Amino acid sequence: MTFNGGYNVMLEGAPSPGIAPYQKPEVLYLPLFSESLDFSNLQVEHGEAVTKGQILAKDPINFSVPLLAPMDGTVNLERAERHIALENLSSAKEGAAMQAEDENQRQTLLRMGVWSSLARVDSGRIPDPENTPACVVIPVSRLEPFFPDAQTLLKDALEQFGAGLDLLHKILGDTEVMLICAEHDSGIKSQLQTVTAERSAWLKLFEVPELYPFDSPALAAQLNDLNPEKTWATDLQAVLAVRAAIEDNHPFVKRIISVSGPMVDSPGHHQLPIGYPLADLGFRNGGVPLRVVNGGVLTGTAVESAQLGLDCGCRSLNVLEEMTKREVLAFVQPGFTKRSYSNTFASFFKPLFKEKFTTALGGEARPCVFCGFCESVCPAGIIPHLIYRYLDHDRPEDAYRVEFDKCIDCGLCSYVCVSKINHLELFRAERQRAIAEAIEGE
Amino acid sequence: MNLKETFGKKGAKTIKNGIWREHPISSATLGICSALAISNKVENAIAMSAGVIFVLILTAVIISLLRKIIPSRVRIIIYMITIASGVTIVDLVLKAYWPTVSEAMGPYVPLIITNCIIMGRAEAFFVQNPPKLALIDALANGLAYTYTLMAIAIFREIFAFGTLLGVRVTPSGWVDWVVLAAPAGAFFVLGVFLWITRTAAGIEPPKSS
Amino acid sequence: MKWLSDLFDSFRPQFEKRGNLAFLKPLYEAIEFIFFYPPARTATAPHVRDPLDIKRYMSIVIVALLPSICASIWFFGPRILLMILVSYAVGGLVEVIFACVRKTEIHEGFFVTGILFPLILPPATPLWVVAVGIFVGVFFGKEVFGGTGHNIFNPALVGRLFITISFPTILTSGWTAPGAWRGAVDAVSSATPMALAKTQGVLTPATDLLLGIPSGSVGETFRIGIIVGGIFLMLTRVSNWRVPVSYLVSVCVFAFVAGLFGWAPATAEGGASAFSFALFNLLGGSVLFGAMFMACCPVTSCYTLPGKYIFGIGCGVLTVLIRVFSGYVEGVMFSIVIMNSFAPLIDHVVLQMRYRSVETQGN
Repeated sequence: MTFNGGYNVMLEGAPSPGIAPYQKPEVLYLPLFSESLDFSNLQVEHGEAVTKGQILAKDPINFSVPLLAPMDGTVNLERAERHIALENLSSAKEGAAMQAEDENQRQTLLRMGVWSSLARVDSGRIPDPENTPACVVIPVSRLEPFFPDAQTLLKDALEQFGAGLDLLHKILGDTEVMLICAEHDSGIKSQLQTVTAERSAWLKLFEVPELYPFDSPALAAQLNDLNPEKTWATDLQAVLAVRAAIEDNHPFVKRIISVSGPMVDSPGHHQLPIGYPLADLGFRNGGVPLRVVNGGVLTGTAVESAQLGLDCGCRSLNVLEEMTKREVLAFVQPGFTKRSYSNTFASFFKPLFKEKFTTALGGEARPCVFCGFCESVCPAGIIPHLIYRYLDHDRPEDAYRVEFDKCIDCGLCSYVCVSKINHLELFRAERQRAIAEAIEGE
Repeated sequence: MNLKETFGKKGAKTIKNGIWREHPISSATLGICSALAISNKVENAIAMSAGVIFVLILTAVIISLLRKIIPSRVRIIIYMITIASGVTIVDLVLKAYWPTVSEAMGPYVPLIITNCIIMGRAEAFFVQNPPKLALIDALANGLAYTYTLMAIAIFREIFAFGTLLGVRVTPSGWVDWVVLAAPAGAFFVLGVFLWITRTAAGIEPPKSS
Repeated sequence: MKWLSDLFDSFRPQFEKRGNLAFLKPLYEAIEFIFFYPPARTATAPHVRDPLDIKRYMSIVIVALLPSICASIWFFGPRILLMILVSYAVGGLVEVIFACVRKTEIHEGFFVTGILFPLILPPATPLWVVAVGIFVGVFFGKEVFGGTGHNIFNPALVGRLFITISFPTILTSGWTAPGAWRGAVDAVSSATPMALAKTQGVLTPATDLLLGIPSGSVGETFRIGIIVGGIFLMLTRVSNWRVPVSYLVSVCVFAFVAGLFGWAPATAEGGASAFSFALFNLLGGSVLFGAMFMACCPVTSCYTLPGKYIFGIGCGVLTVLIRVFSGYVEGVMFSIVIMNSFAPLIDHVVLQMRYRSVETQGN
């Protein structure tokens, strides 16, 4: 197994382990949209009282994945646009969620809101509950800055994790499961080894270097020769949620979310219900304009100002400063505080230093000069600048000929680009176009 | 002089196309070979242009007169015979009266036969139009060829030899640009000439698929 | 720096769309952006970017050239500064005109071309020849292809090639002896080591070459500085080590082979040994400078990794061939330009080989 490329973006503000307490919300804003979902099919009316775990809305395109009420309360559809506001909140008695008759366990997972945490590796879309994967890939150590720390998630929950894996394995038709773990993450690795030891028939531990993006399920599928169409991915919390949904009848409405990044005073983890008001997290009051990124800073999406609460796919929030200052003579400064792939900054001499990144582009857009950085960091072993050129000239067939389908969307090529070309944006657009075309073909 | 009054509407259009819009060198990129090879000195350029104009006129008249009786199967051969006779005349005249020029131009005079402009115009225009129009077209294209060759030759002769028609025009400390005397240098000059005229005439280069 | 940004703010309206000097907007922006970075931000993922930009990327090359530049001023006098100035002025003018006509930004690649060009000229080159050369280099070598990133040939080499062929007498007689301008040596001009080897069979000792005692092009004489600069470039990853290393190694190997076959020039004391001929070929002439700063130009060399090796080896073979068999004493410039023209073909073949299996699977 050879690993090409990869790079660690040494961002300041990693979340500290342990779950910090949070303030009880007055009202929840449940967005009717998320990065991949669109809950257009409303199931409740304005003013209706709902109980925890009740279905508020469904996504008709993605197998009717539900949006669940995280707490008991009253629905208010008029308080915010494209959100369901939940008022008069009260904590529910545990286990209040109703159980339908003659329901199989996959339907239970769907109803409990766990199914939407599964994704197909080839397209990133939610898989069909009727289908069965050949393998489920679960990244444990998240290497992109920043996601919840595995140590925090697995604390006192190792047995439950094992039970969750057993259930997942059984529910998904005796599928194989692969855990991705960074080599140097020794604490987690020994814990996982105890889990895999008992289940070695179908559970594998895949060790990768501690470099972004080797935790990518798509890359793991490529390196292990798995068929991407039959490989699904999910995350640690979803495995725990599977157990909670099946054994304890708990809907998946609370998540451990890391709130991190250079602009957060005390980066850490919080266990928050879906729809928790972003304003209550308190990072929008600073003097400088901020960008809140939903997900990792390399692949996540910026939270729009219209979004008021946590969406149901959120795993982490990273806060960066929006760059508004203009640097003076930046290109001749030695750069002790800037870290670069290229060793052209003096921070080269400070190996373990972390940088306070902002959203600055750090230069002007220019034509490609074939410096080759994108190719040397690419973990998939393709030539991003060549593919970019083909796609830019509207020749997608040539792009696929040079293995564009191997691209795992990690964004490192855009990150290192000297000419500030955004390969990732074009690649994602092309993939979306291809998926849309494929759906139309069906 | 009003072109339309003198030559009629079609004639005026033919002239405009020939010397500007459908310039044989810059638009159709015909006759590049001789334009590169013979444009090192103005003297050679004049002789070459005169030869080409003569052969063009001869071909135009003969081909357009015979256009109705030339069988289309053998038309290329007929063009060749016509052009070849014209070229032979030019070659012999040059040899008889201007032996030095003939020497300098070497094989390029006989090679007028393969000058694409003549062949191209014969196929595209002379064989389809009456003698008067064909004659106008021949003159227009000949003129276009001439002024292109002259422009390049003047530039090249001044820079490569420091002379114009053999007369020294440059100051005493002048250093010859040897590269412009070679056909390689002609590529630079011709390239810039094509660029300027194409931009000015609004000619778009053919799109590569 | 407040006063400077205020100054720019006061001038800016002149260059905006309705301003009197709107056609000079690229020039104004280029100057402003040297002092103040544009406030550009990432719009979509990835939200953070590497701080390296093209300005710094290019200026690193100039930093790597500093030892050579300083040494050349020490060897050949302040005239070198004048040559650099002319090169920047004329080349910059062409660049600015093109940017203004095309309404694009002024690209930074020219800063490297402008300094590389005087460094590969003989030290006594007249200034007007410098101007002609850089004009042709930037105009025909770069701009007609579409500017930085689109050129096929190294612009500095195109300029050098043009004036080499145009003005052979000037270019072969301009070899000032290093140090002559301050009276450090008696001779005003002296033959270059390559010419000495070719005509008289004298191989200049390696230590002399390293210290820059014999004459040569402006930037190529002080070889220790070139080696230091080149290694600095490779360490910063601005130049890819594959091209220079394969170039230098193949020059050594093929010169050694040429020596073994007895193709080395005959010296007074009999044939030079193959080893000393290989060493001389590695250090003599402009091989080091060409390999470290010219051949590795990312735009004009191959971009595929195997292609980079082939490119370097091709340069090495051609250099030795031209040096040993042709009428020219030096072959670095020709070899790099020839390989530049082959680079797209090499890349094409490499890609074909690499992705052939994919295609056959698809069919």
